[in-house]
Amino acid sequence: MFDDRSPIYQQIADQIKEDVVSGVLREDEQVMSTNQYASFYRINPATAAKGFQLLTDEGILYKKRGIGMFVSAEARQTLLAQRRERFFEEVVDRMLAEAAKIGVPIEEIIGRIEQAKGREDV
Amino acid sequence: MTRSRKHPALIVAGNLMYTYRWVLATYWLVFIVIYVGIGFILRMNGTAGGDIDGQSIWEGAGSSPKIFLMVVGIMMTPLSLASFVANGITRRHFIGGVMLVIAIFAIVSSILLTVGYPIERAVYEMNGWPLALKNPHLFETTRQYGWIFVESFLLFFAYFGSGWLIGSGFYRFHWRVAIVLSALALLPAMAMEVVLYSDWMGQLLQTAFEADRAPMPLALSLSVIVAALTAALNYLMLRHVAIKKKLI
Amino acid sequence: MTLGIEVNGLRLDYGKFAALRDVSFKLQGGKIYGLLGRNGSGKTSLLSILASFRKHTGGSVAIGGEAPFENARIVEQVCFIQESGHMTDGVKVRDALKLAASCWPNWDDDYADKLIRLFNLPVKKRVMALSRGMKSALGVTLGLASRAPVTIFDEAYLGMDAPSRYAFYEELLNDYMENPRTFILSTHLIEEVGSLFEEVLVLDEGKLLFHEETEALRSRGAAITGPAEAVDRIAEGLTVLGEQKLGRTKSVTVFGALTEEKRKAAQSEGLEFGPVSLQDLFVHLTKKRGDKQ
Repeated sequence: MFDDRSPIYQQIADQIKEDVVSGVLREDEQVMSTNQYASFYRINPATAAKGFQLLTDEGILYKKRGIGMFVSAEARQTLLAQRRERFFEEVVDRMLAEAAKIGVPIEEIIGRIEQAKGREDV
Repeated sequence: MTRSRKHPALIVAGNLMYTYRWVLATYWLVFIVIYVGIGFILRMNGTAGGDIDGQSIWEGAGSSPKIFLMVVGIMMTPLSLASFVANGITRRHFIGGVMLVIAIFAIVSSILLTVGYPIERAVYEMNGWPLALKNPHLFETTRQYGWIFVESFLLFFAYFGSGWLIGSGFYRFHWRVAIVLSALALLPAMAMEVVLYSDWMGQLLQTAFEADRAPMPLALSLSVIVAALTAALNYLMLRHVAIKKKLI
Repeated sequence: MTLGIEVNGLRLDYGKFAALRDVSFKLQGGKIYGLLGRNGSGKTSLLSILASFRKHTGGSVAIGGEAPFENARIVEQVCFIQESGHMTDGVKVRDALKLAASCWPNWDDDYADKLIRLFNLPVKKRVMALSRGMKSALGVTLGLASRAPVTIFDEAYLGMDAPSRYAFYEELLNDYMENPRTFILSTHLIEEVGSLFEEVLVLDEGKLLFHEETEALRSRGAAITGPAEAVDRIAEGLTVLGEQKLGRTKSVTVFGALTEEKRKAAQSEGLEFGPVSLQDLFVHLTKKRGDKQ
């Protein structure tokens, strides 16, 4: 489940973020405890805790003492805003670079986008 | 969660006795059967003739347990030290535990040996054979149970102790050094023999060294010294010894 | 109940051979630590000293603030497992368990029974007659059930088959979370066990190379791949651990922090960045001259 691409705690944080964005985890829903996480993925609980700490610092999760960690109300919006910010740089610019590399003219890309827009309007 | 537990030396002693329980029991069983068997065979066939007639056979019995206990002593350190240290017991407490075991094994063996005498006498009297002792001992007749017990206890303790020193030597030093040390390690046992003049070996040593049989106070103080020396020498050899995987 | 371990300038000599030289580190305790090192790097020597199996030649060791050697209060809290341990010849599994039960102050009988069932330990068999895998299973059972505040496994699970090993890791983690103690595992199977460690110590030729949080160490390595000249330009000034060439493509393993600008520059030149697994990092860091490249 985890690879070497980035630190494991980062991957845990990213996975939870993805679950929040896609709606698998809803606001005020409880997430697995660090111990459950550690047990399930066979990792050190401190690593899981670090990932949770990251999310808590970013305001994605909050802690209810004695009970566990929960998804904060603003979590989804915060994440979507973050992803929107990075969208143009990470997705669009990359797509344009790839298109240039393989020789796809921008007009064709624009054409395709307008097709999609047309379908959406209908 | 920590439960109160026995003193570590007692833990060692308890475990060692549990480990050796069958060894000891089997030995004594076999020993008794053999001696009784030999005795009866000789009696029945009358083969041995005048020399055996009137002699106590049980008296000669004392040699075998001495050697047996020495062998058990030799095995002690190489066989068990590592497993105790690996279970969180200090070498010091191992030595304390073994001292306790030596004392207990010596007591038990002495009791068994002492008990053999009245039984033998009963058998002899039943058949109308005379009974006499061949070697000089601390005791003159086979009725002096106290002295019989004391003598055998001191000897068993010393032999066990000598064996233990030999075994520790092999664990601590290179085997060539250990062989040389073995000769020295036998001294406690031999010293006891001389002092107690208990057997053919004692007789041999007495004639060799032209010594006289010593009085009781000397015998007792010597045994205390032997016991203390055994513990001290083992401690000196083992206190910093590294626990390795191999036996020798 | 956690015991800290502090080692300063530790030295161990076997005659003229220095197995450990000037090793110093501090373990807070209550964590799962990994000890990595090649054969002969001094792992077992270090662990033997911590467990009072051997006395060190120089420097100092303190566990729980006290010198451990022949210190009854400390040694009864340090459990060192090497494969199946040092059993008397001819003892049965049952007797080995009984001995351990009587010696360790925190021994848990119920937990031991659970582990015996888990690993299918044949209690009536003699230890000598066990297969290597079973001996290892016995070893880990003894180590886990001892509940010793410092429990050390010296490649104790090497002989076990993969399913048993994974069962062990699971048990280790679960017991650690319920009853925290200091665990030290020395291992070669870095990739398998790496995720269990909170901190790792890397020994090489008797010296301590690193003592860091696992993630920190892991993220210090990177593999840069691309056209050879570009790779060489980027790798300038970085610690290069190893390189591989295939035609005009070159892959270089570097160690150390990569600045943002270097990263951006590399990406703009079309170079690929890849992570380096802990195992590969370890192999590179401890490479010797005689090794195959």
